[in-house]
Amino acid sequence: MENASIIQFVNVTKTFADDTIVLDNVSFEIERGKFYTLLGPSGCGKTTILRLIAGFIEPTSGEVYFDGKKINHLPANKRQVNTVFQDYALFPHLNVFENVAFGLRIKREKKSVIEAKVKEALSFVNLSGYENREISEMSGGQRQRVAIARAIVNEPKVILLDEPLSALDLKLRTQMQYELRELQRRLGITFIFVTHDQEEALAMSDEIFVINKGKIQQSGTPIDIYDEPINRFVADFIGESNIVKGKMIEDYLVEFAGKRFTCVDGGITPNEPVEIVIRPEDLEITKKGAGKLEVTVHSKLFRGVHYEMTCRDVEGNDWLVHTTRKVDVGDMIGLDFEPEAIHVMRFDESEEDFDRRMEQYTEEEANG
Amino acid sequence: MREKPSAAGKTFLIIVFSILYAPIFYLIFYSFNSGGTMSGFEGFTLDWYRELLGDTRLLIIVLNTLVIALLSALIATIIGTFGAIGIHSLKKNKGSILGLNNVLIVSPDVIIGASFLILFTIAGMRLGFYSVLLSHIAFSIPIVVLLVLPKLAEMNPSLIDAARDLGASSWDVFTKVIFPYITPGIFAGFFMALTYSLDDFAVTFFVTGNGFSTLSVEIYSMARQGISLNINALSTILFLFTILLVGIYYMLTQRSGLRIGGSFRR
Amino acid sequence: MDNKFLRNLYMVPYAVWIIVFVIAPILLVLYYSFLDIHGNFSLVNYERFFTSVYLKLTLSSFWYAFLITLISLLVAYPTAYLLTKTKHKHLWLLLIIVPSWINLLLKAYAFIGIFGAYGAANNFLEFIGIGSRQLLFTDFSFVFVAVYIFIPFMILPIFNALNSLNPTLIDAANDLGASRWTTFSKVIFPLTLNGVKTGCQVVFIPALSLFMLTRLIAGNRVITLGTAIEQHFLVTQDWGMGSTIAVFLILIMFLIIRLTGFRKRGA
Repeated sequence: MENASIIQFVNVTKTFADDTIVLDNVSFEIERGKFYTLLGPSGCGKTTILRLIAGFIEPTSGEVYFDGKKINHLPANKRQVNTVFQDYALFPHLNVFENVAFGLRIKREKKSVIEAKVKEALSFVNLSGYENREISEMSGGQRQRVAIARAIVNEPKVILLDEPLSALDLKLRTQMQYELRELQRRLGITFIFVTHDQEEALAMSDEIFVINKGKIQQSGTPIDIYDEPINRFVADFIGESNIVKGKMIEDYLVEFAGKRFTCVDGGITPNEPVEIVIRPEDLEITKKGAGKLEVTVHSKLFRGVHYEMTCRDVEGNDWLVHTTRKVDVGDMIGLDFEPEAIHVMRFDESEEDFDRRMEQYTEEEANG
Repeated sequence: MREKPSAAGKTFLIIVFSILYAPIFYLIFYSFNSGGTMSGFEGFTLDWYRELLGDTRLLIIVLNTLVIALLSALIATIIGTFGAIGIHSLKKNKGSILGLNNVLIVSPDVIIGASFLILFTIAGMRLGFYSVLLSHIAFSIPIVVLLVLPKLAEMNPSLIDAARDLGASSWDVFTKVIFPYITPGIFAGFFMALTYSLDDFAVTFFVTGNGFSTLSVEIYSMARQGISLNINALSTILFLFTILLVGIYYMLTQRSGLRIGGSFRR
Repeated sequence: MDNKFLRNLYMVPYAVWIIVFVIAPILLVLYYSFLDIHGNFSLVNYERFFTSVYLKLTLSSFWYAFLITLISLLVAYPTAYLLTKTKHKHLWLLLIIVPSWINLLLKAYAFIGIFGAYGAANNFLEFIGIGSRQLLFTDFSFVFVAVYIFIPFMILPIFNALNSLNPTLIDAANDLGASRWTTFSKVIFPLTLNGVKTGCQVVFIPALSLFMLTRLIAGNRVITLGTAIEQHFLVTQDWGMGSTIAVFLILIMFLIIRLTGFRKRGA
């Protein structure tokens, strides 16, 4: 029976020549047939993970497994993965057909096989008829597709995509997000996608790994990560958040902005200092005195679909609010929110501890 | 900014260009002089050309020069290209290797000639064809390196990653990716090596021995004896040959999108 | 390990070249500079170098190289500047470079004819009423021919520097009220200084060591460091003294490169 996981990192550390640690004891598993995203700011180590999988670099310590076999020292040209590079890395001296055929020619496939496979790959990315174009004659979006065709034509088990959409303009990027997701479903193979764009990650992925400073901060489905960020970094990096300091009074009761609020989090020591996350879209504007918080409108920006306002409460916390209601700067208003909108984060909680706590108190809830 | 040169400016340019080309056309003009000197044109003749073509010794020297130039340029291009790839792949000491590379480019010809003369003498080598060939290879290698390196530097390093990712072995990477990419630089290097060799006088003058001569050395010894219109006839032919080379070079640069020109002029 | 060795095999010829043709010759010249004419180890060559004869020779060599470089620069800068203003400037530039590809000896030989007693130059002097005079074998003819030969190498880097100058900078200078001269001296010249340095370097060092022209055109009236080296190596067979002069020439060369930075022809 085939193992569900195709790639496994076990305690992988990567340091560069000048002793900077790019990856710090990272372990994870990648399953077959899913769309993964490695998300993080530049320099966080996400591209290093990709290059370790591709075989361009070797881990300093730890093990990398592919299909159950250790591949630490397997050179890149012997691995069953293919990469779509950030700058596409298309060979400028070869035309579209030859670029796509490159891998097949290396494998010395038959001429007829090459022709058929290249044709199929190009039609997969909607580039049929472009076989004889030079790379220099292709637009950015078309080059992107050639790069994808060049990777998928080799029928790899995993495709690695290193920020492939970052050079495209916004409209094209959105379109390619759909196309890539669709392509992954049709091919049914694993995609590992690297990006620093959280919206892209949320829109496309089955699973997201949020990475910072060489460590995986949190992994999970887009909804999990958005709704239950494990720490300030994740909350801040994914979407827009209001993060304020608070104190856990007891299970399901938290104090911040000088007041106590019912919430849905538990399993935290009483009186432990915590951080509170409330997403801007979860804040509802009410008349003065009618909400849970009293704030003054500080500034206002028109964003097209909504206004983006910063409001300040009596304790000096800033609250970002998205609203379609018209309020003026200087107005005193109330902010209302549901208990479910409050998300409590402990300081320095690891992903394992977080998962354990979640399991525990959700169980308690079910039993009680 | 893009104002046209003034009348004075144009005059200046015309003077510069006419001084640059006057000696060349002066030589060509008198190559047809039946008078036998480079003053006082007496009548048109092709005698000097006839005499030149009949001079087997000189023709052998021309052949020697061409053989040395082509062979040395070819070998220097091969060694220099691999050298450039090696330097490019270095992580440390790139600067000092490049420094050593450039020594022969900035060294005056006399120093190169004199030091190679010592070298060949110590090595017990007979001075002649091989010492000249080795010298020409030696002073052409650095220029090839310098013309190939920029092409390597401008090559996107992820192209190599991409090739390996697609299953290419080191050899595949070299033949299918690196080599085609740097070809313009290699051609430019070969071409420069060729002109370095054809143009060289001083180094050859030092390291050649009895019985072997190149055109430059031969012209020098002829010129020291005074004027002979054979030399004029020869220079006319060489001038036409140069123009031909320039034409080919120009076409090459045009075809490869001025890439060679770019690296040459840099 | 074996694989790594094989992978680096292609570098071997280049490495051999560096050792045999770059490092070894310099060391050999240094070694020979300590040998007297009988092949004994001594400092006599260095003592001789610091006598008035050789110091004078060095000074005059410097003086001529300086003159040649200066005149080349004075002609080349305006030429390069005017060239950037022409239509088809790259074609004109190519036409400037073409004469530099014609064998040096042939050009020198042409001047033997032109500067000869009945040559074109004297005809011209005669025509404008100055009357003919001895031109060949003078230091004037030496400097003239040397400038003629080096000028393309001076024009090329200056042209490239001027050509890569961002034209908006000149607009900006004008906009800020700079006169033409101020624009030139405060903006254009400083920004093309690297080109000028390159040009000076590729003219000055070879000018110090010219020896063929000194014989053919200057008729041994001018003796440069290059002539002296050639003389010692090929005429008097005193390799030790020749090497000593070469050592100083190499030192001067490194000093100049230190001062101006390494540059390729046309950089």
